[in-house]
Amino acid sequence: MRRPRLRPDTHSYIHLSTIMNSTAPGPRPAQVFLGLFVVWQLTFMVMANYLQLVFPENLVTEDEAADLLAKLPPPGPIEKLTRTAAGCLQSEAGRYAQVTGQGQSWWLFAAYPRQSTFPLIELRWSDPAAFPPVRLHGRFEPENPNAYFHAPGPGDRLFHYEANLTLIHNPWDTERFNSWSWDPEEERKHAETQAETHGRHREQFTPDRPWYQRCQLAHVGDGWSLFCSPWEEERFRTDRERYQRSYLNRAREKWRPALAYMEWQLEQYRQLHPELPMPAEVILYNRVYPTPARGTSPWQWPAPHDHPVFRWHPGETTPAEVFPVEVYDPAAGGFVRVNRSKDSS
Amino acid sequence: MSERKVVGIRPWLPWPLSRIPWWTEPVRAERLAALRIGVGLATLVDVLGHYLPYASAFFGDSSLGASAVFDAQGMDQVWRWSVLRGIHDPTTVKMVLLVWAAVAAGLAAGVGSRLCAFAAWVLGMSFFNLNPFLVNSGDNVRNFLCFYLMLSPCGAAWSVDHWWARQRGAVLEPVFVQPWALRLVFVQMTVLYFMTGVWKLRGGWHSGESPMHYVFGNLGWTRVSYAQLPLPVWAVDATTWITLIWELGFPVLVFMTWTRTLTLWMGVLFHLGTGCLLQLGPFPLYMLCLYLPLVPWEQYISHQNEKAAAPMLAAAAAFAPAGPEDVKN
Repeated sequence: MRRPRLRPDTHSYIHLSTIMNSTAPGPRPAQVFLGLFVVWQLTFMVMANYLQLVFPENLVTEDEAADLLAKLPPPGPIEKLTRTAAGCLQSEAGRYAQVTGQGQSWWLFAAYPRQSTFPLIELRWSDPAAFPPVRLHGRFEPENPNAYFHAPGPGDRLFHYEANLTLIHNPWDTERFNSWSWDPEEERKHAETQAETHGRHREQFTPDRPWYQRCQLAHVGDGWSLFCSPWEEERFRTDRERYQRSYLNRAREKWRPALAYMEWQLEQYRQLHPELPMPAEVILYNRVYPTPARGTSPWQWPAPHDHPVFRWHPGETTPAEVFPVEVYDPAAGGFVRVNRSKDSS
Repeated sequence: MSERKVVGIRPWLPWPLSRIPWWTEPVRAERLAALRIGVGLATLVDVLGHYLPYASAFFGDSSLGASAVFDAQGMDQVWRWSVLRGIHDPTTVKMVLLVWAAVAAGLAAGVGSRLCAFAAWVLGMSFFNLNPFLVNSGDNVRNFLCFYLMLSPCGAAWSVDHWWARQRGAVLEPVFVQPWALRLVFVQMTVLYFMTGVWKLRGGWHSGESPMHYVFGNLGWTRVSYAQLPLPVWAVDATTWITLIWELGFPVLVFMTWTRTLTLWMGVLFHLGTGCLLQLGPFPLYMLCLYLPLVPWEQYISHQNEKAAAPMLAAAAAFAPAGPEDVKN
């Protein structure tokens, strides 16, 4: 568009028709607002995804973030500032995503499960001779792992609930857990054994890799969890107390849906067997089927392992400061009461 | 020269977006309509097929999603909003689910399209936050698609709204819409695939361990046993690498003309395949909705209808004043 020229030979003025012809109608407020919204949406998508990739410590619990950062070189003042700013931005972007339904959690099977996990409920009565324990299997645990069909349909949502439940604690290798030792030589031997069992990729089991490189972030329900199995022993070894605290904190975050699931399963069972008294204990196990190694022939699943996770005593009144369910603590080797407050556990 | 009707507000875009025709040139309204219909039908199937049969197990008192389960977990109630908090009666929950199904049907049919999109977004978000253990990324896709649909003129074509307007002689054919909503959906789709690939890379998919082996071998996620469909090791490895490369390369592959069609078809087949083989709930359905606006629907519209309507449209166009949102061909 040509700019109107001033006429120096007379008074400096611009002819009215020039202005009218040269001035295009400006955008309406609605157009400007919509344009800014489009720009914001583009910025949000890129920013939210980039930040959670580059600063994953803002997505995990405080303990796990501290562990993660402890493995990195100490940050300089600028990096510290950057991380703080990124944390703030991430928090705000997360809130915007929550309010508008634009959660940016795009990692289908990025943290692929190496085992199949199912919830398993065990009902125990105070008189086991009269009422032997009853086990209620998860709805999707196949009776025959070699032949089954999960039809598409109503069960898919329930499957997600059960899957989220069993991801509360990523299962660990019980044998390994029981045989933990602090001898590096034995560590190496175990890695070799694991590598032989699971295939040719020894580096996956080598404890030389920093633990945070072997951990994977996974989205569980409404939050994030850092799964490091089967190498959590390194954390256990370096700081047993912190590991225990971190483990119990995860339990603290997830005990409610676990209790709801135990209550729901118990209610279903009692509707079918109204003649039975209320059981004294309900235990939630994590049933784990290790996936056979690649190329295994004939293909066959090993027997599952059952890891206790929570125990509930129906009808029992618990003090207000502790959870109504007990948590299985692998470090203590049994069920423990957990305080509602993080500081007191 | 013919007039074309462009529905919706034209956003004021800053440079460089304002210089890119992809962001500024109106597109046929059928593209947006296809997305609306797809989202409506997918939601309908989801509500009737997944939620309703287990309604009393998922929501309400003594359920897996009772208010005490997810309300008091330190969640920020303001940001994780739900208009259904406080509903305890399972019958009421079922009624609300039926309303959601009706809204989804209304969205698909295009009856009060934007209002239905808004209601579908509100209800979708509310159920999403009521029991977050039931959901996966497919629900995120549904939520953001409803979000865009309620902000855009999604009922401008292939809808009862459009039919009604045409009966009153209020619209010209063909109808165009501003492209911003469809472009944002496409950018989100690109980010979605690319980031999935990046996270897979971070998760060790390139390590040679063949993660797809663990996916196919998972007794819970798979619909049939791996023992029933034994794949050779090389085929499992191939699926791992193809998935990884396809996801990481999606932004580039889809922008290059000669790879675009193949890339998109691979995506469609990927979601159909995962829907058949894996227990992903409605995830594949909602993901397939993302592909609907990429189909050149306008090419498939009956030429007969357009020819028959041409004289009438020309006459109408001659008398219709060009509004601020009308763009000349």
